[in-house]
Amino acid sequence: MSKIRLEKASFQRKSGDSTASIFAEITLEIQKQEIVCLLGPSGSGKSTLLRCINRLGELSSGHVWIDDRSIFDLPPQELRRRVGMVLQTPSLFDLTVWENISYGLRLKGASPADQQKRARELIRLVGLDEQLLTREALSLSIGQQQRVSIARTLANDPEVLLLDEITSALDPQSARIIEDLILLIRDQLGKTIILVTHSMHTAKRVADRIALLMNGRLVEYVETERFFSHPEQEETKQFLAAFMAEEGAEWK
Amino acid sequence: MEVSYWGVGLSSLVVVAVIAIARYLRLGITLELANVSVRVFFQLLLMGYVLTYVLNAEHPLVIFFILVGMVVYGAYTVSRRESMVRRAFWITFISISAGIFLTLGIILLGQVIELKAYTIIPVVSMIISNSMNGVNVMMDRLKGEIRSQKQQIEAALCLGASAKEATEELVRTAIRASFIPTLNRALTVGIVTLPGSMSGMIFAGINPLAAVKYQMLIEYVIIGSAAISIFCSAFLSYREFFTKELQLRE
Ligand SMILES: Nc1ncnc2c1ncn2[C@@H]1O[C@H](COP(=O)(O)OP(=O)(O)O)[C@@H](O)[C@H]1O
Ligand SMILES: [Mg+2]
Repeated sequence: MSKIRLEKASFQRKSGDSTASIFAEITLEIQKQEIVCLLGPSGSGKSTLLRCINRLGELSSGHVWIDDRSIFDLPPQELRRRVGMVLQTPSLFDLTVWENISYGLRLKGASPADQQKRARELIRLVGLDEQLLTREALSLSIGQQQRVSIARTLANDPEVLLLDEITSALDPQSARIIEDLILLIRDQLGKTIILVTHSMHTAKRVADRIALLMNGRLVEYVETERFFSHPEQEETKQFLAAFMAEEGAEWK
Repeated sequence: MEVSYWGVGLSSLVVVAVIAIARYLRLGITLELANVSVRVFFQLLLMGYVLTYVLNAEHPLVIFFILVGMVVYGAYTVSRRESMVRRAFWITFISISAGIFLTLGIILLGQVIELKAYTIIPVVSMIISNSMNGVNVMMDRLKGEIRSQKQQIEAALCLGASAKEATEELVRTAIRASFIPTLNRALTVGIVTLPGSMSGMIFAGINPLAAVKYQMLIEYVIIGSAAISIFCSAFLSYREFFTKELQLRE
């Protein structure tokens, strides 16, 4: 049984009386505890696809199954607790770090003692000092904010994590810290992770498999190693070649 | 002393000057100002005739229909100002009605004023405009807050928040903002501002102390009904920004 299954997932955006297809007929399966990276040029529909998995957006047609249960059979709030999502910009609330991390727990009515305990565990997990808990969240650096944002999402103990370009607003060093954190979350907590990025470096470091999305079509979906060494599709080769021409010198 | 139409015409010159300035500064409100000035004239004229005929109407149904007509017109005006919120007309209509009928109900039950067209209509007209303003600011502000805080709202939704939980703080901000005009009015009444109705009564030769008592009643009722309208519109409008699957509408 696969953890996540997309079946002919399509999304059309209506504006006025014209409709634009953002992505179409995407079918793919993701195994439990796998890290899958959605790669593709800007505007190829990666974010939109991710948002349709926790129903921040709504598929025009097709299906998504989590553990063989249709996402449309779950109440949206419950779905979102099981499928956590971290956004590109940290989007923390103007509250303390502690209040941010325990937000989801408070909504569920957890006791203050539980909230405290969980917030301490999580802030340590994401590699921040416990003393930061009482700080105003928006006073932290962007890299720290993004880690708090991850901790906040983990507080709901989701089975699946959707991460949308969470390193793209960060400097290379902070990005690496987050990449390590992603691996740790999978290895220690056993989460299944879909990661959107346009960074080949990130993809290569953390992904088990890579899905290449171009113009709303799934072009290639293979193991990371294979993706870079023996891509099957002509479009993938061109995509990689274009990238090498631009950044090849630094690419190891 | 009665104001002549010549006097009214003279005062309208001020508006003409304002229109000229607005045009010169290219504020883009010239047409609206002209429209408003013409409307003031005809709407008041109409109300004058209506009042002349129904002033002594005592049948509650007649009064009721006049009030509904006033509320509909007010709600229509507010909801047209922008296509602010989905179902803006209904939300405004329900909110203003709730404010007016509740406070009016209390006054009538307490037999503070009589159920006669000539007492009820002027009171309601004053309450209505404050309720309208409150609802208008409420919706406008809420829309602005939701737009600018889209990211935080979606972050909250991602953590399993309901529409209410995701917008709680913004709704509070919007409510606070929509109380400001009413509070400012109440703070300065009698000192900076002499309410129009009171000036009108004093003009018409009524003893200022009698006019003041009447005005106190009206001020309290204004606060009450504006508050009810604001709460009501807040309660009704935040959900219009979400689909039933708890997605933020675009
Ligand atoms: N709110 C929106 N309104 C209109 N078009 C949008 C909106 N969001 C995204 N799009 C369009 O949808 C397409 C896919 O966007 P997105 O999923 O954000 O791509 P990616 O994340 O791969 O960069 C793009 O062409 C983008 O212009
Ligand atoms: Mg994106």
